Amino acid sequence: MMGGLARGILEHEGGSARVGSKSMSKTVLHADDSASVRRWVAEQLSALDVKVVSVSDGVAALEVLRDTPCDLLLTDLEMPNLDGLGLLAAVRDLPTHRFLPVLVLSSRQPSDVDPEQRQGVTGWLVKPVEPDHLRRWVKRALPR
Amino acid sequence: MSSAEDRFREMFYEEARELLISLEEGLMELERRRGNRAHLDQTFRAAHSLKGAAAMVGLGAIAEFTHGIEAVLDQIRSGLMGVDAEIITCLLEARDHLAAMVEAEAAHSPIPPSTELVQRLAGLLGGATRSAAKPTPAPEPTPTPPPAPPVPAVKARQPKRESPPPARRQKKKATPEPPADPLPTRYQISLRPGPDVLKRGINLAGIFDELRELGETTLVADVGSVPPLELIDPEQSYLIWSITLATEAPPERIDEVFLFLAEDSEITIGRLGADGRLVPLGGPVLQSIGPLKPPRRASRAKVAATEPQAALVAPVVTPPAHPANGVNGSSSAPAPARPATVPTPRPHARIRVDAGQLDELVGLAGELVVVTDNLMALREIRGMEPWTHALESLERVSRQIRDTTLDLRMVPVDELFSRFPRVVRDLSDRSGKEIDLRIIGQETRLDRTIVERLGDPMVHLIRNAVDHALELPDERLAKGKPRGGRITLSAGHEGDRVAIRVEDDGRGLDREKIVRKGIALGMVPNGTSPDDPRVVSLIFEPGFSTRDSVTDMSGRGVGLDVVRDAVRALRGGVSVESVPGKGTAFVFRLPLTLALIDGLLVETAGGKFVVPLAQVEECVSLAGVRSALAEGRPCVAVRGELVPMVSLRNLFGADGVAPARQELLLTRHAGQRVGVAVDRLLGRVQAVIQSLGEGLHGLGRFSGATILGDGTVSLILDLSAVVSESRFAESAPRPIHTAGSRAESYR
Repeated sequence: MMGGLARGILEHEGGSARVGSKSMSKTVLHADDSASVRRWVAEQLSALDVKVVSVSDGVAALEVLRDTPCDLLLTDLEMPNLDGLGLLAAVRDLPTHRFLPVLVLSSRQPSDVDPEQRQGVTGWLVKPVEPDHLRRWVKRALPR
Repeated sequence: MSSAEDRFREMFYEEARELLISLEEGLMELERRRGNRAHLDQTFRAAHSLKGAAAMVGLGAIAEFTHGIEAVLDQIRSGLMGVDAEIITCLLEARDHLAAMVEAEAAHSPIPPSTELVQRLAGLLGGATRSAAKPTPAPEPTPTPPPAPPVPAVKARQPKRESPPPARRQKKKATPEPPADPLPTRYQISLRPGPDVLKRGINLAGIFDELRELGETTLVADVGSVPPLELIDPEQSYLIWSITLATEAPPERIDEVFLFLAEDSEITIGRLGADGRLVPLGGPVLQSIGPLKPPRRASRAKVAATEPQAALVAPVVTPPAHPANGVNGSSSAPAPARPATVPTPRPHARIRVDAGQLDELVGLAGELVVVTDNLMALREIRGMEPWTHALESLERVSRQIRDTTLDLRMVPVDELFSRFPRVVRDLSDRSGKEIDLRIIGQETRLDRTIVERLGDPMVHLIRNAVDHALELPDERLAKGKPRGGRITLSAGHEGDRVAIRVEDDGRGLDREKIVRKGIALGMVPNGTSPDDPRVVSLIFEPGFSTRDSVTDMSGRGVGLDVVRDAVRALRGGVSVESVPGKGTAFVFRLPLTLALIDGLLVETAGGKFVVPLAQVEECVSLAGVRSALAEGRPCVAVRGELVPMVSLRNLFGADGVAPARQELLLTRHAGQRVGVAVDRLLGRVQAVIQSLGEGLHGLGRFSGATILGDGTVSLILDLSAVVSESRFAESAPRPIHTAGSRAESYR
């Protein structure tokens, strides 16, 4: 979980923009190899009281997860170095993140993916996704 | 809104260009050595990422067209389709069209996908159908199948409320919620979470919290399914929850709480009527989730908590029906095609910076050096000794800043060279000539602008080499050459310049034919035998090569004046080395950077101007040189050659009398020597070029400005523009070769 100091700062940053009752900035980690998708997602999520950390592949995502508290992982599937499903499997193996909500945001349909491999997925969004929808799902998947 | 959207678009275009390059390289590579897994993945990913990104920024047509390419690559990747030249050609052409679509979109005049290519791509797929292949491309989702109404949901929900629109999620915004009932409605919910919900990152406690926020909630856990303690897996869920909820919130809100649970859990929601009877509602979330697979829905009721997760699928949302409107609502009406712009620099993993800002930084760094130089003069003042050390440090640091900043403008020439395998492949395809392309020294770094602008001249030379210089395989074999022709591109340093060579092992220049042609065109006096440099310079003369001569003389000379002018504009030069029967090499020699210029500081009518040294072939003193009029134009005789002269004073309309001893800068314009008369030569300078502001564009004769050591601003004079501007250019007399007869050579 977040250290006291970091939490204080993030809360402060949240300021009056926040509407939720017990809000406290949550961190969403977004992995996608496309810079424009990363940018788009960060922009869409900026309307929520969340901090978005964007990375371009699964390895980078794991690095972030190892030393940063995260509340939600939003990941693409096709990525270099470590793809989304590989990342998912690795996350479920991390003692600190075994129960992390993981949303997939990919242009693939879940039916294209072996059920075994997608077992740990919390929710699946197919690109292109509407901003409202993305926000709704992210809000929903974030631990309260 | 639109500015944010533009930012995404801009970013997308940049990214798309990079992906298109790796797609192209990948396809070429695929043809060369088929079947390398990692490499195939990368190529596939280029198409896949492009598709996804295009869809996300609302460019549905591009996403859809890309999908056709991606689908073929997917087949190849999964081994269901072999690779042959025809497939690669089709994919490459599709890539090119895609690139054109992206550029057209970037230029705000979108073009539609090519139906022909779409059909050809589909045809490729048709040849190798795969059972698992998707019938429809993802970015163009079939209008979501009416959310497979599972249970008799809608009807059951009827009593008082308007039925919520079943296709709610297809609307842009969430539908306004129907007016709440005056009194809280009571619901009875039964929830049997899937055994692995925890492992899917779902927090049941959070879900219960959320229900409590909706209204008064009671929770009862049925522990009947909990196994004996020793068999308990603490990470599994065994409990069945009975929940009552009194809320004014509409049923969809309740549904939504269970969004992620719907997949592998059993949930029933019923409304408690006034009479205490339970009216079943539809399962949760079914209205708000996209098209889940109907079979799954049908069997939902049967999924018992203890069953294995064979059918486990997380909740899904599929794209809206109109991706193009989804994000931004922009319409992309088909518009006339625009040609894709030329060389796109190849990307590398670096920070992107705005090119304009970088240029500004280069300019500032240059100014810093100038300011420092001025400060250095302080050292001469008595009493400044204590500051000497600091001044020297300042000088050192500011020079380092300038050099480092200049270095930022440098990019490896590979950004340019990497385009050519494709160019050569296409040319080889068309001409039936086998070509082996070698690339050497692609890591050599050059000014970004030079790399960008060298594309066309190089393509020109390569095309010439393939079309005309290289022989057909049979002819080569007959000459004892290897069957395949070779083209070598190389880059390397030569002193403070970079040399770029385009070399072939074809026929070589045919001196006889060039001379004959030169005589026919009146460029070479009949009966003379020009020396080799003159022969070579002939092929760069505008109009030297005409279409009918192309095939005659190995095609050398086709628009070579254009090549030469382009290189000159970059302050470089072209030279040619050729051995008959062995081959020809064109060599560009270019400055490392365009930001700095070696110049000659000249003065005319009291103004100081910098003339790029590269434009000056020679300086001679006008004093004592006999001037003459040729066809009514002023000329001077320089070493026996009558050279047209332009007076800068006249051109500027300067008042006053020219000094008795003017200087003449000899430059070359359209292959001809021309003198430009200035008042005085002040010396050599190294200047940082600053571009002229917006308002000063169109001042053709000045190519920029620079700050001189004394802090004054000086304009940079473009001699070739000066010459074209002067009236002489319009009625330029042919150079009169006066060899011998009027040899008043100056010295």
